[in-house]
Amino acid sequence: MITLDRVSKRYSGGQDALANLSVSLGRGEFAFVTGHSGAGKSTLLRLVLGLEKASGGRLVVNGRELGALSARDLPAHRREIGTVFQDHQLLNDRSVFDNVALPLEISGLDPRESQRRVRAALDKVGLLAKEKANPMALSGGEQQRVGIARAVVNTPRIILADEPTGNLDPELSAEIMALFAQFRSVGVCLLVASHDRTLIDELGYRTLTLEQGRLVDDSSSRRDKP
Amino acid sequence: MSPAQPERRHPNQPTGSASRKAKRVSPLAVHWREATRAAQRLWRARAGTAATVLLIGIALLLPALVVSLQRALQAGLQGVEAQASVSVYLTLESSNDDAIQVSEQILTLDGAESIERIDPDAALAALAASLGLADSLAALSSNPLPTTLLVSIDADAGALSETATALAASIRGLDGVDSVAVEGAWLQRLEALSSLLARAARLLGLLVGVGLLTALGNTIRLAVEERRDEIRVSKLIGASDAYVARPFLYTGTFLGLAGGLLAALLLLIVVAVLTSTAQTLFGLYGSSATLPPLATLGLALTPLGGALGWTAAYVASHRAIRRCEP
Repeated sequence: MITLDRVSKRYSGGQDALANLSVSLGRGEFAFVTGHSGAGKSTLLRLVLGLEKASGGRLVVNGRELGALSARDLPAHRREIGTVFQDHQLLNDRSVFDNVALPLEISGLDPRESQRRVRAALDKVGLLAKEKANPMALSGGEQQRVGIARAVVNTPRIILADEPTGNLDPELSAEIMALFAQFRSVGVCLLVASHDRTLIDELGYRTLTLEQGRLVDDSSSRRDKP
Repeated sequence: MSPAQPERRHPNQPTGSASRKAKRVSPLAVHWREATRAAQRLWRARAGTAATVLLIGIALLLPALVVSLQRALQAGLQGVEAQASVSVYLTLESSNDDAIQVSEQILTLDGAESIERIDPDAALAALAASLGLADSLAALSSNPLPTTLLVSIDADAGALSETATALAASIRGLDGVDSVAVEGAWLQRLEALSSLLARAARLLGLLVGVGLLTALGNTIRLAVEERRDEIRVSKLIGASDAYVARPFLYTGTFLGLAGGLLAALLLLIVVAVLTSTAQTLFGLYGSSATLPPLATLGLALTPLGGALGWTAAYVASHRAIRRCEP
């Protein structure tokens, strides 16, 4: 589902954010990307999402080689990936329901079908009762769950998460990871950037450790694969 | 890599008909939704919307007013141009036969339609009657007035005053002609004024167009800035620039249409107010002309406003949206 073959990313200042990174993630695989600040975690996610172009190497996501995609094709590529952010990126002038419905609206889904999917997603994250609430009225954990509902509402094959538990306490972090595990169990590929070593060690999924843009460790999962 | 479990559903996939190949909403319905939302946003910001519409309306009204004034003047000119003629004064020695010969020559020239001959005796009698100097003029030993030919201008030959001027130049070269005068030279001045108004309208229209594009573009650019977060998030989850720009295009179009409609209404009012004054003015020049109907111009203002609004929104929104990178 995600294949990086000697991918590198160099910014205009000459700084190497990623260097010769080769990684492959398959269906139903859950992998953490970890490392210090500036190690290249977010750059890796941005490359997979198509927000930035690799300076070298080959990057294939969902069967598409991103280097060959035109700017016109990139939105469709992004619609097939669910994205979760540390700061949730919710729109505070819309209700929880409307926030979750946004990807479906962009995809042009029929409103009735959209309504069913949004309710299913909110039910999955335990927030169906708060569909009319404003995101600002929710706790940090609830806001993150709204973000997850929005990420999965379009039934993506890949979910990217950038520090999804960064602002959450351990209990809420565990809840979020449990949700991710459910998606993994049905074949969704998850790539989660995190610097929370405790959480990573506790869950025991495959972990890619980056240091100054280089992959210094690729530890296999200690868990049963789905 | 883990084996797949194809028999299991995505946790977010609802039961029943829902699937990846779910029913899509029609493009028309998407446009209707975006248009409705744009209209609702404009309605929520009524004060700002009203100010922008007023600005567009007045800006479009100005060149439209100049155009309508020019058309009114043109209509007035058509009413009084029939008075344009060329007076040809023959030499004092010219006989009646000479006058007939010159008349025949004039009628072969371009622009000459008909000729009225006024012989010297008739001219002197008319002068005596009009000035009340019959006794003084009767004391003259000989008639000092020449034979006069009043040449009417062919209305189909083009602008009457121009035709009269050209015809006069041709007549001056004929034998037996002492002098030639173009009657109604003031018509030329009015035609020059009409031409000036037409040019001013075009120039003003161009300036107003550029001004409106800039002002509307700025309004749209500010609207994009206000919704920067929404645009960034939308692009992050797969919205194309065209999708994001759509509501702004509707906003610009609606503002332009409303401004154009307001300009048309204002023009209607101004014309209604000025009609009686214009009729009085034209009457003084012996014309029964009135202000021309402005239905076409009025109707054109609304789509013109809409087109300006769309263009301004297109340019401004695409540039601003491109800068809202996630």
